Amino acid sequence: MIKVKFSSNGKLREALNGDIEVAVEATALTLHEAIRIVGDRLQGEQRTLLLDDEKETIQEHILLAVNDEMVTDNESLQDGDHIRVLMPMAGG
Amino acid sequence: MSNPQSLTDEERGRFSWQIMMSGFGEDSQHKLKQSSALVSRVGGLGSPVALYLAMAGIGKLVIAHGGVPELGHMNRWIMSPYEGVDKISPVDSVIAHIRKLNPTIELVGVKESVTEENAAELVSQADIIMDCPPYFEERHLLNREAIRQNKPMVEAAVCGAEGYLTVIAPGETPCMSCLGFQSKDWELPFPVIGAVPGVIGSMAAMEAVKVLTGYGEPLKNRLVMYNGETAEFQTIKLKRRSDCEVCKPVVVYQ
Repeated sequence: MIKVKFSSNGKLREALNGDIEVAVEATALTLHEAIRIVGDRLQGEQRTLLLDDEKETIQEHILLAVNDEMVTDNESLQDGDHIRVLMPMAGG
Repeated sequence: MSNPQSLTDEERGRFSWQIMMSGFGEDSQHKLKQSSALVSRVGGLGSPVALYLAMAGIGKLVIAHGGVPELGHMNRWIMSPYEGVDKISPVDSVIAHIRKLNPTIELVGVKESVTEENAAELVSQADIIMDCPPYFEERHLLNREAIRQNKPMVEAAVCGAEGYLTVIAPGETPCMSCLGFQSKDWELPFPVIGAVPGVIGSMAAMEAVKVLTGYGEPLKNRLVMYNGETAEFQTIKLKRRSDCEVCKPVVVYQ
């Protein structure tokens, strides 16, 4: 069993009602797999905050961090890791 | 003969409370006096940026903002008067306000927001860029131009009760394009409590003071996220994207 924490901001945080835990009965889990699992909990516009179903990818315009370090690759996660997703904002 | 760029006795007195700070001193105050900043838009975020840079003693501010305030801006445009809604350019309001607080600062007002046409000229007039517009397009324009002209930029933004900021230093840190921030769904009006851009704008001004003077440790390669709802800050370590189209290292053949 691998358990990771998932935090986000903005509309995504509202859609998920705050931080959530992702638990998977597996011996290995990647960042993208974990995000897909979170995305699958959402529907419609909320789902598209995280996933691009046309391209079958994670949305490009979000910043991903694991254990408070930005990541650009599909990293392998360890039990206890903390994923943080930053939704873009441009308010001035 | 006195050096016109050195501090006057009046300035030593006016800025005495920050000059007395350990690690700051008269040398940093002098550097600030010789420095300039472009503040792109002086709405909720840019207003505290401009205000605190002026009051800290920066030598010159270039203030760029097209249009006039709307009624809904009045929860956060702290230097635009109520009677100026739909009428008075925030550039005029901010300049008038700042002149009363810092009579010796050089102020350049530009009643246009950043565009493809004016970005290079605006960026060329300042030592540091303060990125405060409410559109991703303007932010990426400034990012590209700041990278091209090798100028540091303080990138700050807010939405709802949240805000973030980071310092972009060309060649040293990821740029805005590296961070990937873009959204086709972003639209105005966006939700915001006025104090949130106040918090982030004040922090952005502090980062500019640090970059311009060498004081402290600027927020390079780190992004601070503020959540006003929970009164929490998070810091994320950033990294450059080797394939970034905007800031990837340029190979120079000799």
